[in-house]
Amino acid sequence: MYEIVLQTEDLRKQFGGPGGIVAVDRIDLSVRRGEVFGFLGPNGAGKTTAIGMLLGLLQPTSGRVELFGQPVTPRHVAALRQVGSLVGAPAMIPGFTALQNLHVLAGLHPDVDERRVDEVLEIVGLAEAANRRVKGFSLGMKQRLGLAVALLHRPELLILDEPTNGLDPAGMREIRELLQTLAGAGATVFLSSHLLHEVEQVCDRVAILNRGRVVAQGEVSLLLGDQAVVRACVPNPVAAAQALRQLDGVTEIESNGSYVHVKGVSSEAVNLHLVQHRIIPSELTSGRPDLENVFLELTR
Amino acid sequence: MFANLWAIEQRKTFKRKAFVITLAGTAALLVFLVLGTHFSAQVAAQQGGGIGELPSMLWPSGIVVLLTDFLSPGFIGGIVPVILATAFLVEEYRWGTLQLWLSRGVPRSTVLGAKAAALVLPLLLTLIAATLIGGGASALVTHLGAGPGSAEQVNFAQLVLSLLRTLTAMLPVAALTLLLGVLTRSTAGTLGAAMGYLLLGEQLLGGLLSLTGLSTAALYLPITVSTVLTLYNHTLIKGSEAAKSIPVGQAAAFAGALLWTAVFLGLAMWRFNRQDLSI
Repeated sequence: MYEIVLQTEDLRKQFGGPGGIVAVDRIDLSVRRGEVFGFLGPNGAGKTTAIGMLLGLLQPTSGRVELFGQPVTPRHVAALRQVGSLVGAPAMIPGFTALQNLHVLAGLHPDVDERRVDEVLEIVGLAEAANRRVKGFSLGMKQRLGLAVALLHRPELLILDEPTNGLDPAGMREIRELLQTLAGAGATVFLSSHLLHEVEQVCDRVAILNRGRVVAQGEVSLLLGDQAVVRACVPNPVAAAQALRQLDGVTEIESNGSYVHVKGVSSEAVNLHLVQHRIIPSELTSGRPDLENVFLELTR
Repeated sequence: MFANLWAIEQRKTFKRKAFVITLAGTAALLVFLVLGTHFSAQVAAQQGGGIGELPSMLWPSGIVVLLTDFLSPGFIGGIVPVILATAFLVEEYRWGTLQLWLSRGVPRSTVLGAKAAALVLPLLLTLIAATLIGGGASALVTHLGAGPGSAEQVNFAQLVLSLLRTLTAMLPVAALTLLLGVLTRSTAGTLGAAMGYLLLGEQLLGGLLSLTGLSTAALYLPITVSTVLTLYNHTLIKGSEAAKSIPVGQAAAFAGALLWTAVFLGLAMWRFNRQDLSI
């Protein structure tokens, strides 16, 4: 049995009153302890609005958010003490140094001592810039400091929105490894990102949001498996497509030249079915798409 | 949690440019006003008058002018809390640090309450510094012109009370600025609306109340009642009779200033608790 640390039920946010814009439309999410959960969606899909509600910054129009089994709204925020977040532009006082910013925040957490402040600066690779003013930081450095802020109080749940934004490839890789290490140590990571290969590498499960609705949710491997495409080269693609429509599990069929593309079933099933209908494929391949293809397919 | 947050706000305050600039600017402006008023009065006296009745900046009346006129909520005593409250709140909306506190499980009322409470100390420090520097300038012109002023003329217990009265008179302005900050979330909007109310809004409102026969009610408007409170600073000169002609009693003026502070803060909290915050 999985322990659910983050759950939303029928979560909805409409801006501008009745008739206004529905940014998030009845989404149900559940994130298990210790997993890295990817939250994907094109720009304007409602990801940031959903995260705003998870963090108690936006009042849901309807539905509910629960973290660690406790409700979260702008007026119920106790559960957020176990959460670290990096959302949007990293929040910090520009005239202060990195160290001063962390010291200010450490005042909120009695269990965070000087050693932990140094430790998080080391983790995010900012130890040498600790005494520099934040206003002189590059975007990547600000992002690293934002991560340090999120990690400072050893949260059980991290909610991160584009954490590798502004980082170079080596930095992105470091952060990916860090997230995996944190998850390995028992932390739960809710990762919103548009870098699909990053999500594919790091996440155990994902939810894909489009126009405010969750269009897919589940384990990355299963989502990719569902979308596997079997390509058969046949003498009569129209007849083959007609025959394959009768096969259980087929979700989509498309004929293109001498090929038929089938989704939702294995290559073995396609082969057997075609042969039973006296259609012998001269070529049969099965391709698993990457997350980018699945994402584009689901959000087009 | 509240104490922690208050301590954090204080630490931030003393590292903030806005505080240092406000402190230095207030001190410089007061020195300029004290010296300027004094020398203008001297020139006017030498030419046989003609530029109106300039107040004497000689000790000890100079300190009364400082605490009742210059540092009244209608003048510098209003500008200082507007600047500090704007810097304390609105900048943090922009930096996202306000949202950061809230996303760490700090209740909204605690965040805003700690910010409001944390404003009191920098206001008091600015007031003390302004009084020392402005009072010093007054003592200097007294020494240069008419010889050393007499310390015996000053009731020092009343001087301390005058600081507290002037501080109390600043609180409704600070609370109003916090309310405007919550409503507009914009530096320009907050500064503009707060200064507009200080310089024009309340005069218009007072005029309207007077026209409708409610001139007594006009005395209890936030800036007016706070200004009335600072008039009691005349009592710091021994034997001064000026306080006897003030139209609102000291206790009523004090209660009025605190009540307006509570009303503005209450409205700010009510709105802040219901506000959707962008990230």
